[in-house]
Amino acid sequence: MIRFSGVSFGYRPGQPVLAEVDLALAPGLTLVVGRNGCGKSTLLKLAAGIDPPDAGRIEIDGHDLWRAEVAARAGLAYVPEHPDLTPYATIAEILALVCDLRGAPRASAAAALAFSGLDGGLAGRSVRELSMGQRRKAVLAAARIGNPRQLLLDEPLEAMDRAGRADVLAWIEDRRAAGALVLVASHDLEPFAPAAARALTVSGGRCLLVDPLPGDTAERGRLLERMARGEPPP
Amino acid sequence: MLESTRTLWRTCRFHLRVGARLALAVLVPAVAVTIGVMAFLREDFVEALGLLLFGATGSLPTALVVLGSAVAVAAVAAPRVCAGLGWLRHLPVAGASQRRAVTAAVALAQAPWLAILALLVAEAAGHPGAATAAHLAGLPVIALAAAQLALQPWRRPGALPPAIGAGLLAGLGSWLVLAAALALVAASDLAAGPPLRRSRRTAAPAIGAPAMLAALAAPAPRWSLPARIGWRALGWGRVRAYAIALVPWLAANFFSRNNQLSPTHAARAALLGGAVSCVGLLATLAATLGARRPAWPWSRSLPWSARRRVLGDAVLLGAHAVPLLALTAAVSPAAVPALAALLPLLAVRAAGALRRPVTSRQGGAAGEIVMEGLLLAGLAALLPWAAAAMLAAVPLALRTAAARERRQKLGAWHERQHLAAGDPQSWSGD
Repeated sequence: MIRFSGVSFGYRPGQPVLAEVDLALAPGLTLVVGRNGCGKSTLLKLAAGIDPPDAGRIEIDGHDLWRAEVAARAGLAYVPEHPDLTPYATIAEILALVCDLRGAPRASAAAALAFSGLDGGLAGRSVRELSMGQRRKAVLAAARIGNPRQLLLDEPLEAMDRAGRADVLAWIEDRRAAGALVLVASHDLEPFAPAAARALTVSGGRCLLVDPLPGDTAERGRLLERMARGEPPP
Repeated sequence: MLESTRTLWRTCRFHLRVGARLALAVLVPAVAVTIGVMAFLREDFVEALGLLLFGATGSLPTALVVLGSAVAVAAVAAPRVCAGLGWLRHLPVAGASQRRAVTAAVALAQAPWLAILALLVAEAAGHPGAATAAHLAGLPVIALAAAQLALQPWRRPGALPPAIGAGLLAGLGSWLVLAAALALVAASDLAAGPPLRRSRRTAAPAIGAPAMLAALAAPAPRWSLPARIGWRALGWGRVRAYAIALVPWLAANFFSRNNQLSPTHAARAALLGGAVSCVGLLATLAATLGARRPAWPWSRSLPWSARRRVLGDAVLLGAHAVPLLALTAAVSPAAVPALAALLPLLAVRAAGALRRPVTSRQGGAAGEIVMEGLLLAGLAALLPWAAAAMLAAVPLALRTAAARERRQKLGAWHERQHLAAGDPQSWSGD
């Protein structure tokens, strides 16, 4: 469970991206949709503990993200839109770090790397030697380590080849079926719409949650399209 | 297809603008520092320096010093001028023309330094036999040669000797030799050829699953991974940091040796020198770390605490200062306990300064560390017992730094602080 209580956040004073947001997200797939710049990625960054809120609190499985940092992040995996990895680390080092912090055996890093379709020889290369696509795969590999309970995925299918997309979708479905909370921000609605339990959009600093989504496929598609265009749900 | 003069000029103008912008960016601080240093060192020293470097008869060692300084400035300017050059290569301009334009831009970017050298030439002008005009005319040639040397990785090896010769001859202050220097600059340019591909680090050989597992199961302890990343990011920046740190230590050492001091005062002088050395080292290292190891937003989603991240940086920075403790012990062992008690606080505050709230692209962590550090160093030198209180303040400083780490908005931080040069994934990276 991820819970936002009275959360406000802005990059510049007086221009809030989120204003006093109250939100509770249960396990299952939640699709975050909306226009560019509406605050989707910011919402995920806040949920992932990347940026601290200006006001309010965020809890993950009952742990405050900024007071019980380790406990709150123990089962959390975040895949950012831009894979901002430190350029001076090798992929092997990053994955080993994730294994150590999540308490997973380091062998699981090799498995995740192979599953993400990264060539084994890349493990010893530094991040700045990798293409953007390879960096994304490295971050996705890191997300697979330790079977996280909360997945926060920002445009997870971007810059992926067809095989990679299929792998990512299968992994998301696998985690969802295992009872994980999956929060996906994406402009690509079709791959996620059938499995989504609820949808969320950000508009004018407010979060609008539709829970549950309509069961009818056509109606669900229309609603998601409407939310993706920035129009409020009916 | 031959290039038109117009295309060449436009290419040149583009790169020269880049060089001019770089020069303007450093002009004001360079002039301010020069005026400050000249006021501090007094007229007779500046005049003596001018005479030494640009007196009547030039010598090879002084020419080497002048060329060395110009190459150092050019080496700083070159990666900035060359950033994004890869993308420009797809435009219909010959590689050699691009290289020439970039060389001119790097030479132009040295303008503030050339202005300082010109001031020194002017200081020597009033003296009998001073070759003022020849020295002044030699400065642009030195800048061109320095630019060629700074861009050597893109040039054929045969272009190196004439560039060195040109830079040295241009500093000798003789019209005849200056003409030879110009000829050598041209020869170096002709020998350089089209821009070479810079050799990248050799790719790791493809390895199978067992070897990959071995790489991932490396015996490194878990705490060492962030330290290793930080260590690698600091790289050769350490050399600069230690060079800066040695200056106050040397000054304190000279002061102690050249004055009759009581043991107490000698210990306090050594303590002040050692503490200021540590401050210089920590400030330089923190600035390097802040630029080269951009805050890593994704890493904050992992289950480790802000306190642990800050402590890791503090230990990494503080460990670098241990050799300075040994150097201080060599001057005055009595100064070591107080310095050792002060160091943890300085290291934690430095790690905290890395997490300062950033409001603009300007300014690094160094300023804050120097300001605070000098105050603490002065206090410890005046009242050595205060170092014990500073040691006791470490947990509080750690708490404050961790709180600062939590408050950082990394979404905004990355764009402002990330040094794009050297990152091939950046639009402006080389």
